[in-house]
Amino acid sequence: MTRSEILQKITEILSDVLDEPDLKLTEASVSDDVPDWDSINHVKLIIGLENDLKIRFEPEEITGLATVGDLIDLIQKKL
Amino acid sequence: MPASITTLPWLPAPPEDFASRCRALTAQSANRAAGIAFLAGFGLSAQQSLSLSRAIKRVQGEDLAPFARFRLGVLASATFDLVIDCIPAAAARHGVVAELLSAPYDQVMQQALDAESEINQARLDAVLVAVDHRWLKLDRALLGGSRDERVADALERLGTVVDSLRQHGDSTAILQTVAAPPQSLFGSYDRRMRGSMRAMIDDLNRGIVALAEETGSYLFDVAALAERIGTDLWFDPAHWVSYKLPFSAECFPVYAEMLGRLLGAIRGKARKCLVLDLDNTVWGGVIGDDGLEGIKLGEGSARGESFLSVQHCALALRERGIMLAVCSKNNDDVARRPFRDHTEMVLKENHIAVFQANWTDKPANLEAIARTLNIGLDALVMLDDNPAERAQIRAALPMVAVPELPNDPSQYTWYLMTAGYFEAVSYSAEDSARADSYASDAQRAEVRATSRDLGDYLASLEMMIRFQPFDGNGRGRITQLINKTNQFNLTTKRYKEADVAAMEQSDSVFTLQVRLEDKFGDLGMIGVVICRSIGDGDVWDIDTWLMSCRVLGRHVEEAMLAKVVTEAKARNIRRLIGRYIPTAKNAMVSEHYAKLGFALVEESEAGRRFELAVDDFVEPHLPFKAC
Repeated sequence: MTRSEILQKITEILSDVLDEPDLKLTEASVSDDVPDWDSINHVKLIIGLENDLKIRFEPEEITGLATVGDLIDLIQKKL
Repeated sequence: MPASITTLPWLPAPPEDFASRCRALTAQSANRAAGIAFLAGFGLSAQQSLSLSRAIKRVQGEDLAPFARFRLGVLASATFDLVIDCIPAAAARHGVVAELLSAPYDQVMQQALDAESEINQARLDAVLVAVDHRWLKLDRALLGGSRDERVADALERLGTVVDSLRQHGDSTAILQTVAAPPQSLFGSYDRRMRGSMRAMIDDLNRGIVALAEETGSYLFDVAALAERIGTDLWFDPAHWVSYKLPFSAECFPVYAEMLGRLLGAIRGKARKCLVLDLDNTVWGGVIGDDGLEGIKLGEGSARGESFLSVQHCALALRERGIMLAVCSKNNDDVARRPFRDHTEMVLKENHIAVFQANWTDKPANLEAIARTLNIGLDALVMLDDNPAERAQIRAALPMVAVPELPNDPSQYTWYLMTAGYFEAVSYSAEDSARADSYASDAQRAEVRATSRDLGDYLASLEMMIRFQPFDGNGRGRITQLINKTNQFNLTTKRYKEADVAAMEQSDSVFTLQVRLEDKFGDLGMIGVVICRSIGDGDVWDIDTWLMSCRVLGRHVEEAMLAKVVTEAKARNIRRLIGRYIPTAKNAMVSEHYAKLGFALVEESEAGRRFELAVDDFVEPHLPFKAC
């Protein structure tokens, strides 16, 4: 998957989680920019990504993420 | 090995546009309740469950009869939000609109004890106490001293929660049994070691069952669910340490499904009657064609034992009070014969409350069964090996539960019993007598003709029909059909393989082998026609016309006639002669030619003769795809 495909996947899952069909994300997006992107919705995003992409994140990997771009970096390493 | 229970394999896969159908469900929608019931009937992932749960939440203020409402509180010792997302969708599958109220993470004791808490103030119908071994402090072995006290403490904490919810919130608790984590300290010796986690959790679970009895709480057997899935898969250490998820995310939909059943049972929505198809569901083979000696049933063969276990399962259900009925495309007397005369049959006619063996479509018969037993269609479960019949029933009567079945009959009972249609929250002597209280005399119920529109259903099967003259490849199967088909067989003429081979070469014989495929699979060769040229060579006498009963009601006959007429015209044939020669088994086709528009020209003891002028034939619109 390319970075833009991964970004699209993240956007799709998060827009499902937040019930926000028009959600727009960029690589620079951070959770504070997006209304309702709280810790529980973040868990839903991570679990959704794990299920859809058939990957698993390790506990420490998740904690250091700041931007959507960081998450894409991490996913790219796993695919 | 059966499919994993976590994917809900007894439910059909949702349509592609599932999410948009969920979004389309609003307070303004007509048939909101039917829409919810339809969408809940699929095997949903966690994400799909969330879409449906949201839709239900949007419309839960509206009239949603016949759904029952259930206001459910959740006190959880872990992050339960993702599980809760799945619950309304699963409850809807069991006739319940669940409105949920959950307390914040790990506020179990505080919420229960505080009379002013959100949960207690809400006066809920029930409160799920979703705690596990960790909250109960049984998450490590205790080798010295106070292990019995540790279990007693855990039970006392639970007892306090139950009593407080009753006292302050006027609510009944739903208690969970506790799954034991997979890791052992001593190996097999854990079983004998009273302070091992396994031994303590065993004790705890016995105590929880007793507590539920004493306090009138409901019991949700989570330990049994985890055991079925396997505790190595049930527990997910990474998700526990990272997010405090109570168990593996893969298990959320099935956990919700099990809870939904319980809510349905509490609201009296459990199903009451199991309706059985016969051929290849209750015995192997087709009784009308294979006969009493030919069907597979009983010890000694894998297939025979598989069907025997279906019968034992049905009988066990009847003994606990579930009514049994039969709905089969068959002649009545033929279908009853195994019940009367087959020595391996466990099921007898007197176990069957209503016995519908006829050639009318199954939805009409299911309506007749429900009417006769005076129960709703939503109390019926239909077990049927034929995917096209299942699809037809679901399309016509979405309130009837129709489990998917795999090809292998040894798994039928797993699918039927795993689907959880007969959940109970109590059991009494009255319940067990219920099946007997209906006169179980295998009565025939009157089927009312309905003008059900099956057009969409047939189109949805995406059928492809293929015609070929007899050839070497088909010869074996053609010969088999000619010698085996008893019911849909107009003349019951039998030919040896050499005769069939000779027809391949003959100029005066026109032959067809017919194959059918639909989206569920290839049904193989399902029809054979032999026409003999007679007179001055402008008449075809239809010597043989036979079909597999599996494809009845799909307009295959019409398609076959259309093909015969097309070929006849190409050869300057003016007339077709069709004959019906009655036998003990082929009464179902006595009107075959009349239905196809042939005129009756002669009738005697020996049979009927019909004719059709080829030019009078008008090809009807038929539900087949070009191939």
